[in-house]
Amino acid sequence: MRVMAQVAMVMNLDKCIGCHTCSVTCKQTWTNRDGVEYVWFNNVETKPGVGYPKRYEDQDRWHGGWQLDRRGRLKLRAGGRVKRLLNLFSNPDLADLDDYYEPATYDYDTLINAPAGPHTPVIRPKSAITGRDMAITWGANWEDDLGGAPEHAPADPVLAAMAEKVKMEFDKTFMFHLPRICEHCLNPACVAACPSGAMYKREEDGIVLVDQNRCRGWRMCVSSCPYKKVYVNHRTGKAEKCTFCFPRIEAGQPTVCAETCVGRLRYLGLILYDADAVLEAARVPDPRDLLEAQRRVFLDPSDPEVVEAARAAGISEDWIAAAQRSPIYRLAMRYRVALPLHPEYRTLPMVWYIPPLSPVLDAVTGVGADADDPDNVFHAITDLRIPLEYLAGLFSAGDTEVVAGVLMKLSAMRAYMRARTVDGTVAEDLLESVGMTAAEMEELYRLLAIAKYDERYVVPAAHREDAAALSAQADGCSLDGDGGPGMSDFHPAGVTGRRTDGRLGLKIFVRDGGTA
Amino acid sequence: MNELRSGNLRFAAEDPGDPANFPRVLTVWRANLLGSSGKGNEYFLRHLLGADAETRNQEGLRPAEVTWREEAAEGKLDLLTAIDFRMTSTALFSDVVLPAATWYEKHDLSSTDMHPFVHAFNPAIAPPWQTRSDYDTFLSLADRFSALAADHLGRRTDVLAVPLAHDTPDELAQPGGRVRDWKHGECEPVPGRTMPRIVAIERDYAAVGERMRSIGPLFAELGLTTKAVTYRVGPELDYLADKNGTTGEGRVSLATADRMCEAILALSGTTNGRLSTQGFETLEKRTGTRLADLAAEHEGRRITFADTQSRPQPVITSPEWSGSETGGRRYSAFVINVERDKPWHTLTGRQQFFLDHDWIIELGEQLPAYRPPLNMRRHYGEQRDGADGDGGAEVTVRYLTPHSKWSIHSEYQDNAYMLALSRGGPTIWMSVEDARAIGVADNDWIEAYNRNGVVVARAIVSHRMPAGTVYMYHAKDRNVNVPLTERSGRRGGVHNSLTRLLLKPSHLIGGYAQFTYAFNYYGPTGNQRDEITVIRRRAQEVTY
Repeated sequence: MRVMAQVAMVMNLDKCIGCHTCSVTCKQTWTNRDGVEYVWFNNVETKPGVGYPKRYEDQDRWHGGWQLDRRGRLKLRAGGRVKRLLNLFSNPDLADLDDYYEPATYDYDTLINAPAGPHTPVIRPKSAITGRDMAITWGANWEDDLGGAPEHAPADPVLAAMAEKVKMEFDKTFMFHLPRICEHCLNPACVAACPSGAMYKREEDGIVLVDQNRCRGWRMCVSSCPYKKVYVNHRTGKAEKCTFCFPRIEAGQPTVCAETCVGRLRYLGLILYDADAVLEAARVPDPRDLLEAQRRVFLDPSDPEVVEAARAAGISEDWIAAAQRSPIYRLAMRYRVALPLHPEYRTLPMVWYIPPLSPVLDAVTGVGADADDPDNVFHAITDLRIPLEYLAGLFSAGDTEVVAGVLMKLSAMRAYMRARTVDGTVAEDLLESVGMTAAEMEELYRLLAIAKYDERYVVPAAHREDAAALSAQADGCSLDGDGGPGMSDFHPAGVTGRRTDGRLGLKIFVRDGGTA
Repeated sequence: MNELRSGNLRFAAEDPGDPANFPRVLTVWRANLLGSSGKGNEYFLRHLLGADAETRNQEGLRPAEVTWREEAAEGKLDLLTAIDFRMTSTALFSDVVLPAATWYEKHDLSSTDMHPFVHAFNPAIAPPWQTRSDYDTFLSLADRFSALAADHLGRRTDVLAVPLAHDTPDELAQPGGRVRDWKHGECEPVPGRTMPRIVAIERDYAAVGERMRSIGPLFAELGLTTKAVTYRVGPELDYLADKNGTTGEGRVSLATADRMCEAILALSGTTNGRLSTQGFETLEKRTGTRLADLAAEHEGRRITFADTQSRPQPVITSPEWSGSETGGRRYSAFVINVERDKPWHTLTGRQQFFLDHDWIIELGEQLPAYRPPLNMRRHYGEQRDGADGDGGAEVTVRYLTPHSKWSIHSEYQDNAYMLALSRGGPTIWMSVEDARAIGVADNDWIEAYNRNGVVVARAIVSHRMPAGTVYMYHAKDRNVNVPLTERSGRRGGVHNSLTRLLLKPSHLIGGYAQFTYAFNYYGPTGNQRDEITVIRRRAQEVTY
């Protein structure tokens, strides 16, 4: 057992109202500059929908993530080293600007300086790339609240793969919002695909970053990331991505997206995992087994053996204590209500989601039934295949049993708390139906409904004794530098004194140039 | 009264088209009257400003008691001033734009009944360039006004018609909800009973600027009254004199915004435990129920401006509101009425569902009942006029202007990020069925018109919309990506270009218990929710 710690996130999708505050504050912090106008480290999609960039989930097209070869070995979908080398100068799997969108700006001065004329002055869109007049035909959130869905959503790869066809009709409407950041995977395809060794996963907290000094702009990370969460700065030509707000994480603070989340749907905390078990988990044959395989990689932070091994691995006492308080561990492991996004990509993502009950409730209301009645909801979960199959396509490699189990728990929790609050009764049948005790139900409720800041964000600060090597502090403000905020010249000497090469903590994942 | 009775003297509202009755000066302070909130935008443009407008409404009905002029006045205003930090449509149309400091460049307070906190605004930087805080802007205006007024207005007595006011004996003006009109000889004109109060007030116009800078003598003499509870504020005035300093006449200084914030906090029961306790004690005598304990836990507490600057401060339960924050409870309206039997501010003192006012009876609304939307086709006729002549398909639909996810009223959302996260300009949401009927695909340019105006927008086609209804969300200004209309060749309008202010007659009831006017609480409101519009696909090449 080789214990490592990773900062991970869970998002409770029933609470996301699609306000995009996370996107705006993230952009203001990290990508508010030339070259990354089109880049949203954090974006929020309306589902069903093709997302941003368009159809990013279509790995037949983009060849992102991993797959098993005939001998059961894990290989990048982008191909082996030779194939990737041959494509180095013209990568066929790269999304172009139209797959994202052409960013616009406006001729704001017109409103101040327009000469007298017959019409009130107006600002019109200009391409932020060429400066020329443009018509806006796509955007980072084009499908907001199902806008244009009848035309575009059928191309949603998850929807298209469903056995039962979804009708885009008013009384069959269901939707939810899906906020997305980098998954900071345990088995990151971007890191494996980088020919320059510029992408790395930090040893002490698992955050995946780009070394701007090493990046040569080959963009293999962009195509290999199945979530399309590595971007190209078209001015520097280098890769940039969500940093998990590492300067804040190092200071024990939540990421900007989490800090500013209006719906309080984000949770941050540590996961202790066995680094030696990662590879085996990523290559279980059946994609539907990947969820359980990844859960087996996670270690119980209260298990004395794990604690002993963590100490032996140099993980400090306060980090172990934080792992024991981790809301991520409780949501993903103890209550098993959080699920990974697209586990079938085999990257073992570390931003998990509690699937939303709202599409099911929409369906119940759509057939004219009372969505407050747990019986109706239970029946809908098992009978109405459409929302369930769709959610399973996102969160459980198509296994509807898994998603149904989570939705049952969420629905039981609502009904249980409703009974307790309204008539003061304890609904034993509900507890029994989901195999939980009253205390567990109360704790899950507290975690999901009323957890305050310090319960939602359990982030231990980086250690003072490592501070000399933390370049974000040694080099002054992490927002300095030509390449932009935090993206240049960080970590010249590595993040901790323990690492020698300053980059990849988990070399095992790129052995044999992508074949592990 | 004799002049009124004889008809020699009339209310301005009886002849709004008389140039003597025009409003001449309008100052818009951090609002967007002409870009978002003005219901009937095109009427504002034509009649207030004398600008080009798209309305082609032909009024059919004539009022009986208001003088009708065939040519409605246009361009009534002499001066439109906007105080803002954005170049809104209102600012574009203004004669003068006074640049305003933002939230992070001034001292101010913020509170609401939506959460139990009072917040401070603090300047992170001084107001940049020529901007000033609202407080300083109004002080400057007052000073200049006062200097000019010394010659032109001086000291004089104004006579005001004051509406019958909520939470005063005016609520008893119409016993039984019987409306008698003195103009029809049904009763005598009695100010405060059968007509507005008539109040004579002495104004010293040359002293307006100076008086804005201090608390006048009436606070000490009369106290402060909210919802019929009068608060005696002698100790608070002494405290403020000490804290804020005084003018030469010994009055509490309000010379700066932070002093004003201090005064507001000291004079409200929600931030001063002594006053909330005092108010509840007054109410206890009136209601005979126990109330003062709600504020007792904070009787000695006074929230200062410095407190709010250090962090948002939870407020104190006070009779100025109807909820309870006692013991850290979260605010919910009417908790005190429900739990402490404080009478509701209604005719019966209870929650009241039966209403027996004459006009309510006439409208058949004595009990809460569903009322269907107004049938606008019936009232205003078919809106299609075939004026475009190209025979293109058109569809007539219900037109709604709801609040968006991101803004209400004049709040804006068209900053660079939000434009990138939306479709970068004006949009109308429509159903698949309606879009199909006129051959519109998602993101096509469309035009929407009715008797009130014309809008050019991109169509957002979604199955989330029911057939027959379209949305144009609130508060998209006309200055971002709005092309010229095909229909008139002029700039397309805002969401309120297709609306017009409609008053519901029952909202005009006054002087009868809970149906009595209170500023920003109860009175006639504009109702623009029932509207229809014609939509057509337009040429996809647009010009600006």
